[in-house]
Amino acid sequence: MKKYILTGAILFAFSICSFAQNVTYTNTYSTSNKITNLFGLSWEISIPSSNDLISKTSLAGGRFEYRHFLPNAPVSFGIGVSWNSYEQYSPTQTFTYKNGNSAITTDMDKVIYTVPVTALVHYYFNNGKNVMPYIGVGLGAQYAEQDIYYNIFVNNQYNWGFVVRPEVGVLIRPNGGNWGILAGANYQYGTNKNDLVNSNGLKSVAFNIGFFLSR
Amino acid sequence: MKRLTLLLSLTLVFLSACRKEPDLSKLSTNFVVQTDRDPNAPFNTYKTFYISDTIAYLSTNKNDTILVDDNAKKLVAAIRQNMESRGYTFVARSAHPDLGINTVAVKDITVGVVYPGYWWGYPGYWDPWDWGWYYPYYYPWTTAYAITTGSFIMELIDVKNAQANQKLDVIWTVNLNGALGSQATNTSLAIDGINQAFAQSPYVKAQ
Repeated sequence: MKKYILTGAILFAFSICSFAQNVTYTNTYSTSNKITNLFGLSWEISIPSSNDLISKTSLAGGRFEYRHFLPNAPVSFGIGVSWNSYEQYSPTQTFTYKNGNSAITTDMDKVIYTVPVTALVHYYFNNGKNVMPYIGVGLGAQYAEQDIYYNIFVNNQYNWGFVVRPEVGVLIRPNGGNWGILAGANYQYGTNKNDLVNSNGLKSVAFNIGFFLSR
Repeated sequence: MKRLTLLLSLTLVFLSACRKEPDLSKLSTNFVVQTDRDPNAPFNTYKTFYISDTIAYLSTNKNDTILVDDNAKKLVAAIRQNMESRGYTFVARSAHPDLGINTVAVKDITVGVVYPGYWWGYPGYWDPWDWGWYYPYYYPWTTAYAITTGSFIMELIDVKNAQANQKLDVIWTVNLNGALGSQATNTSLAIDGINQAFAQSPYVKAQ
């Protein structure tokens, strides 16, 4: 069911893109090549890196962002919200803790859901052109739900952490108009802890691709 | 504005659709095996142990007190076998063993968090008065145990130094927790759990 919703949403997204393409030439904002405001929606693929809990890549993620461009500098400020959902089964293994004085053996199914909310700043090369590479950084807070299921038990750890997210990417406007493709890569470090597995943070490398509307 | 509304709607669709659920069908039914040790306990200074061939039994039925059937004997045999393989010698209770072993099975008691030792006072146990004076049981750790459906607990107690310490140091605890099935299944799961508990605690040895 989820797959159908996802496919539908993506098709829907593409139809908006083509609709936007048709109206580009009649839109008054298209006379200026510079972007003032940008709204982006992208699909995010996240690969956990040196994460104590999960190592399996998550394809279930997305990102919404808003950027406001400064009129006289190739810089934008904005806000971004992402979400990533991870799930991984671990076969039976023994974890030791309390300096090796305690140990627990079990298999488990781990589910992590993260929502980082960051303030963004980006610097653009080729500002105002059809292809605009950028570098940027996001700083903010991350909400994380870490659920560990084992036998018939579950351990839930829900918390907030700080998050930092350096990124590189590119904005592509095929017609120099008010829509385009957004693609990027980022490293994300959140300080959300998990006491059960002695984890101090959630780290990942993510790639996102989507589209944006601008005006 | 219309397009922005669509974009926001899509965001919401993604947000709800992209959330994964746990795949619980993969989880095994093996008991979760938890062990805790006293970091200061000199395991290699003990040579002998005693274990009763009955197991204290707690359930929602108040008439349940001890297990004396074949299943209990199998569990006790598994513990005894593991202890002997680690170099400890089984002796009679009257022969002043260095270590005493307590065992308790808990079934269908739903309690949130249980601290070690809450089960003391049930029949079938090492009586704190056994050594001529009352010694309190002492746990050098403060782990909380969640017991939902079924547990098997085993405790290794320092009897050798009880008089000197004026308390019964519990130097090692084994907790097996999990969903219960038939009696035969439970016994088999518990024996596997006991073996795993020894496997993950290499420090329990006489030499």
